[in-house]
Amino acid sequence: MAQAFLQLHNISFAFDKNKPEFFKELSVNFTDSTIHFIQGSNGVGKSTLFRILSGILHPQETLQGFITIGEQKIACANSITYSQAIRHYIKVVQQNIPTMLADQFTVKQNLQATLFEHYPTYHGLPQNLRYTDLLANFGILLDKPVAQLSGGQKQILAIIMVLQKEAPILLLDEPTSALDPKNTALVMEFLHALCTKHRLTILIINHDNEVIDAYAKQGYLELYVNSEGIRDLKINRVL
Amino acid sequence: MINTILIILEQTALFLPLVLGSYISMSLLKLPDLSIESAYVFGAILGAQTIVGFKMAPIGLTLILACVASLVGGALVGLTSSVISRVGQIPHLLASIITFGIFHGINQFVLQGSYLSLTGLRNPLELLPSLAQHPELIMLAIISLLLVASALTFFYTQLSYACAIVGNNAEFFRNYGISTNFIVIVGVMLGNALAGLSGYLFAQSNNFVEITIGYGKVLLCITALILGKALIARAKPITIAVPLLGTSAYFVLQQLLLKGGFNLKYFTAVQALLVLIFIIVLYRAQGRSLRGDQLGV
Repeated sequence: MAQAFLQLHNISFAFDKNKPEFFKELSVNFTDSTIHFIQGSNGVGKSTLFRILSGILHPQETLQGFITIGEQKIACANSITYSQAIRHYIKVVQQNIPTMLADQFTVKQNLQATLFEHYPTYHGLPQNLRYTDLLANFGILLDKPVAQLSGGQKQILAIIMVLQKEAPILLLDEPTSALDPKNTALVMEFLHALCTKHRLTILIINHDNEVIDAYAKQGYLELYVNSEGIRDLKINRVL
Repeated sequence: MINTILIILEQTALFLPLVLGSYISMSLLKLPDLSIESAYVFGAILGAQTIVGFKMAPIGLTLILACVASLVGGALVGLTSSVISRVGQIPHLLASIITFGIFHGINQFVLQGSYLSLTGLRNPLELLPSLAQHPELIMLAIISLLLVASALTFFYTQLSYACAIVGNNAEFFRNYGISTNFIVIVGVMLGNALAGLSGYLFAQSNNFVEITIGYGKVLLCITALILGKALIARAKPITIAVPLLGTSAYFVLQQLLLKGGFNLKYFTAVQALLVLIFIIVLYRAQGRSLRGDQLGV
């Protein structure tokens, strides 16, 4: 049976210490090696939750509570140490995929570039690439120029690129919003393979009901505002 | 005929560092790097002043010191323009223009005027025995070979790929925790350092340095790089062939025009028209788009 791997404990968040809390003591568990969909209507706080889990906090924002990832406990109070720690465990794929790729270069060169040193110098190109076994299964050849990939293949490549620096959790912001059904199916098949073969825990922020209906067979988490005006997460089943 | 070929080789050797430098900043990083002209002049001045200051030192040592001084001078210009651009967060074109202004004053101060003659001083480019009509050819060939070998090595490093990737997608490295500022600053410094070396070689070969020797060098670079790209239809994203063939083709063309009786005082106009024709006709025929590419190189 899958275990709770990523846990949010009493997360409270405010955009400013003088403003009311946007999230108040939010708690939720995410099991490992699973794809979790987080759904919610516009303005309910999906993007804010995405930023918190990405470790992107603005200086005036306040975050309380703690997060556990496996055995590791990450306190939220210090935004700098929190951001550093969370980015070590959670890799993020933004919506804007073109900014993540260099389309005049090959797939292999794109993967290599993600492993450059913080200050790239005279060292050669890195060779120890991860997840290349999955690429061929999805028609993505290492020597192919990125410009020649389909939208779904580019999305898959972007995911593998952020995972070159190993992490157990992958967070995606609407990964299929710009894709047709065929490419959506390709990306979802790939994410499923990542979960099963490489035991990754995947969180997808999503607002497309068709994707939820088609792929969230185990249910999904809905972010909503309850009767007391507090934002909470509840588990919904797909009928 | 042989003399013409030797002239082409000599000219190519003098300007190869400049075009190679512009290849890094303009073709790889895709920056409108006008500061390359300031770097060319400042490198020439520092190199020439080194020759004057170390006239009693062994001639081989003087050459090394002058080359190092010109490289450092060029790099300082690149450091100035790229830091203004990246830290000040202003467009690189404006940063280059500001840098031009700053270094115009610095150049006058270091030169103590607008002209310095090297006539009567030993010419370290004539260090090795060579042809009577081309006494600098062997030394220039050695410098060029060293330069090409260094460039070939550099083009397999993370830094060169990083420069080309930033040129392809300026947002790329922000997603992976890699410093774009560092890549741009070091890339522009390297490009400008090479321009500085070229400035010194030109000054040494002509026995003078003048504050205006940089004028028109950006157009020379763009023309040579466009010629290089036109000659290699499917160039790899990073290759020495473009600046090398482009520089050679530039001087082959110049010599052909000269042999045909063309007055070289109109050559700048020819360059400008060539750039225009290549971009409008040839690039379109090759299916190349200039979208997001400010210089077409």
